[in-house]
Amino acid sequence: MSSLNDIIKIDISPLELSDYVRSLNWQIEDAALADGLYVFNSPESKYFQIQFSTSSFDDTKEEERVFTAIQRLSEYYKKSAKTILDEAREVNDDIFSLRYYSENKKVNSMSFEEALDAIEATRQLLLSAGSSVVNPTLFHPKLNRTEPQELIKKARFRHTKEGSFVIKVSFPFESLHGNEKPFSRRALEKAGSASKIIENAIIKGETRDLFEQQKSSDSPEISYNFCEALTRLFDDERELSLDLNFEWSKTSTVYFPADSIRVKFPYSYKTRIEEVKETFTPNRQTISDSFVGTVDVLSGEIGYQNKRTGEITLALLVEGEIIKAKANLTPDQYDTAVEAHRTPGSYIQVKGVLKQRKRIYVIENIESFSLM
Amino acid sequence: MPLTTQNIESELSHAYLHAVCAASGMSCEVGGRHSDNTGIDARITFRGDLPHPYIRHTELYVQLKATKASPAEIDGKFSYFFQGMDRYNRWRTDDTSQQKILVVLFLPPNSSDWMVCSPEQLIMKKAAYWTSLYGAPESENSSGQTIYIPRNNILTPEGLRILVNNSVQNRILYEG
Repeated sequence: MSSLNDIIKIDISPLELSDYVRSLNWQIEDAALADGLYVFNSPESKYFQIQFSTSSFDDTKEEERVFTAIQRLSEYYKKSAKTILDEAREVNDDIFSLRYYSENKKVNSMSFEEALDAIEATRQLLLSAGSSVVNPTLFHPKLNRTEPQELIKKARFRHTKEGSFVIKVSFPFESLHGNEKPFSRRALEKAGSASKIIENAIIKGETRDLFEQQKSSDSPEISYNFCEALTRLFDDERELSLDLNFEWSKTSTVYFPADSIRVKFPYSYKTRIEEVKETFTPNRQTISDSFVGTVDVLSGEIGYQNKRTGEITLALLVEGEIIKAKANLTPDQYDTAVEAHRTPGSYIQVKGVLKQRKRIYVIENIESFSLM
Repeated sequence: MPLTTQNIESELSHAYLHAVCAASGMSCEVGGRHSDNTGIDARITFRGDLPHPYIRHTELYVQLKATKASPAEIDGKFSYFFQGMDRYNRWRTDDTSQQKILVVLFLPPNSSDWMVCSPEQLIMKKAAYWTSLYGAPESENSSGQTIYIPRNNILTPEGLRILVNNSVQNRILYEG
């Protein structure tokens, strides 16, 4: 008898549990409804049933009945009661999950910093896909359109799974008018489709053709922003591979039948994805302006009169994005950079010309460099 | 290390229950006492046609006891001392959907009579009886309560089938 101790709390409604078993093709006994009960027969036999109240699970009697129902489902599907409950909670949601794995070791954790990066990259990935639904283009200068932002607000962060580190995000499936897909579904389909196109292109060795293919399309699936988000998902410290899964709410499959999408990105694919990203990099015009940012890396050397001078790397805020740019500083400017780098939370302002090189930006003709 | 006498009695009660369930076409699953504080030792599951318009899958939850003490019989009922007032009070007032019964195996006083095996037959002597505690009277006792189990409630394959049929129609009440 499986232990019920792994269920902490039944926090689903009778309707959600009913939706869940219906999505698995359990058949309802209509006669039980008059007695205030849901009674469902399993898909394979009318002699395997679950029974629970139609109204609520609040009192002890009904709580025990639903525990028994969960237990029977657990036995029937050979899954833990906790898994059954998780699935029932998500029955009306589309789920995007990102699993980190390694071929030769178990992954139970990742560094806090990497986790934060992965979550932020996931956010960018979803915003990019949502932006591409609204405006299919190869590059989104800003990811602040209303609908993609609303998409993020509706997203729920879910429990991860044991045995690997999984980021799981769900979106309630709310169909507006019968046969109209909600924005969240269209955005996730876009993200899944874009991921799949990139995966297939890498496998077939056709990544160099991707940009032209997408450019010639009336509705490109892939954007620079999406590619950048993908590269940021990788854990470089431990070189972990990625599984991306797009699963559709079970209750939606009646009206919108669709297969789930699974994409595998072994770590070895990262350089290919970066190459794809390169080809999608927009031709930013040279920008002459004042920029605000932080000092990331000091790479200067001792120069004339024993003063440090030379190259630094800045993280600049440009058009709503953080861009890494190198700059060559005079000794006085370098001192300011050292001060900024040493003081947590310090920002600098640099007036100059930002130019895009092959793999990096540089800021030249620096007129001023000061602490804010 | 060999089992204690109490362990042997307990195992024999499980064996009796399993045998009766199997003979009546029901499954019996042992519960883990360490994982469940309500004193449920086993779960009997029946799946099949029942005298009910839509229930075809039901369960009984069993607490198992065994004793080699000869019970007193009064008015066709065996007396048995139920230990633990907390559990007595919980079970006598428990109206949750899980129907619970107490099964007591009355063993012969002499352990050599408990089981006889030969190439021709396997014999366990004497029998187990069941009762529900739901609706049993309140008690002022502190350590336990004497309950009365009808002699008619002998746990046989046919008796178990009748019990299960009745359980899907009505709450099983204490008859002591």
